[in-house]
Amino acid sequence: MFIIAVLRNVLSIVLCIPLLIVSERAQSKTISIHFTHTIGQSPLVLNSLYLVSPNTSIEITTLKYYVSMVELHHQQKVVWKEKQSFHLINALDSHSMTFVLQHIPDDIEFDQLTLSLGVDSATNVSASMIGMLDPIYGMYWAWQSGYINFKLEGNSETCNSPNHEFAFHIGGFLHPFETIQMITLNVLNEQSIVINMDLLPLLKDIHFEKEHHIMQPCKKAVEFANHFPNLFSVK
Amino acid sequence: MRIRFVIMSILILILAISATDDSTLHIKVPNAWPNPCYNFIEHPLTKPAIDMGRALFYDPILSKDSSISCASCHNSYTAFAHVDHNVSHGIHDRIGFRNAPALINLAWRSSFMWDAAIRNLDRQALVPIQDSNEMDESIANILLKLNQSARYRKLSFRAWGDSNISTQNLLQSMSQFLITLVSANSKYDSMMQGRIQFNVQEKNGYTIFQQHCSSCHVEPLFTNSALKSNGLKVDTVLNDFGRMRITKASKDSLLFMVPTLRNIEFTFPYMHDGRFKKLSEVIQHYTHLDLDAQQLSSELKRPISLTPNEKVDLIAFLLTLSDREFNFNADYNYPRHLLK
Repeated sequence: MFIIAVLRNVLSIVLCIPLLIVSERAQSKTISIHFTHTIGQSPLVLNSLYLVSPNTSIEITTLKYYVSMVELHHQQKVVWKEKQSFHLINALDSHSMTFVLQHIPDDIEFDQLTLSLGVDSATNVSASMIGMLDPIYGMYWAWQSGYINFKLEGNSETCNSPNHEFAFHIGGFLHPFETIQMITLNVLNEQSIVINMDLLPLLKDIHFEKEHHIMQPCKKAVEFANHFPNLFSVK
Repeated sequence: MRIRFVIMSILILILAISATDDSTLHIKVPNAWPNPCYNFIEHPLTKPAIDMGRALFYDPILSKDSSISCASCHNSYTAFAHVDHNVSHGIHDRIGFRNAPALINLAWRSSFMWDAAIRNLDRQALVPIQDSNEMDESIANILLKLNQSARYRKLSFRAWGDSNISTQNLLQSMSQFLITLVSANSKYDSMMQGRIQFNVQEKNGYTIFQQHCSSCHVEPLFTNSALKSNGLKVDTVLNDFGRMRITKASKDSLLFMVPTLRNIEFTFPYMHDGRFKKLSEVIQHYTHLDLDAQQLSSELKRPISLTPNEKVDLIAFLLTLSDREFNFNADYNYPRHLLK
């Protein structure tokens, strides 16, 4: 019985080999995506002071966010979608800031790249916790059952909180507190795309003296997330 | 180079396949029961995975200081509830804010926790593990501990063909064990199958139950798995508003999941905050409802009036939901052979 099962498995694998080789031979290209972060014109350096408004200087210690559902568009139509598209960008880890889109047919042209900032609702309730969706990365709320789409932590003398710390954990997938945001970027057949996130418009809007913590899905989290589409641009 | 890679892959695959015991198991679904919600096709049950889940369920390694296990608050001899404790207890005697529920027939449930926050059983165990008032441990640290344990590496290899334990395999193993906790052999079930008859008291209690209780505690699972407000006033110390904690919507204030009544004899104290110690207190609550209470579920808007005898009869019926076989099932209790 066991031998039959093994033979059956071997047979199915052997049969698949030509398929694998053929698909490898098909012409495909890759596109590398690289994220950078700035505060206005200055590159973001963690644990450094930045002036975000005349009376507010802040220091950022953590910046992490999910990028998912990466798609290429041509003339308003989707021409390519990344499978299992979940990336966790972490400003502390330069490796996480680059990923490569693979197996893109060579002849595909595109003029737009879209991605979601956050994790979609179906994934939030699925059993899949593999890859970057593993709760070990600290981007998951257990009691709320859901992913934290975006995490920004740091401190500012202006914050009226213990140790002057702020922590914005932005997530939520249930109506009316959906926080996932679609980002649309104009590109043109590039092989390498650098996407910059400028945090300044977001930081300027935060009243740090009283707004220093968002730790759950709520109206404030949604308002916070509404900034995301305006923060990204292609360099 | 490629060929060598392919050959290596085949060898590894064969090894993985032969290492995994792929004989799938099935839970017994009693006749006339609805189909389970659990996806058995995507996640087939296997003995080694159930074993691994069972070992984890009883192992305090899941808590920060290795002092408590899942079984600390979910005792197999009392339908996996925490008898005599109104709310859950954690490490260093920390106290949670909700009554640890009985773990029964979870394969038929699509949402978990008193506020239905969890929509997938595989994500459920993360809640008590990470709650600072319960196990207060991180998944990353648990994986570190488990991957240093020869016992768990062996269990994982048998269950998943990989001795390296991942979050996914850890949580799915626990789900598999929990899925096997099926209680379907109470006196009530025997009566329904025509094997025995209720006595007069039980029969009368059953009629009362069907009149007043069964619209939410729907047979045969004795829950409709819905969120309802049963008229309990909020405890001003715990300040637990149920589902509203998740949605922030006032319409969800004081909504809690309808619990199953199976094995209710063993799962005292009752209600989400364990405020009632006896079934008679529970019945007293339902017969003295404030019908104008905000959010009271429509099913309860009709007054329930019971004579003292009827109350006793109703309790006699509720006791027919006890399943002694479930509570003393040798496949459910502490797995000495896995944890020695």
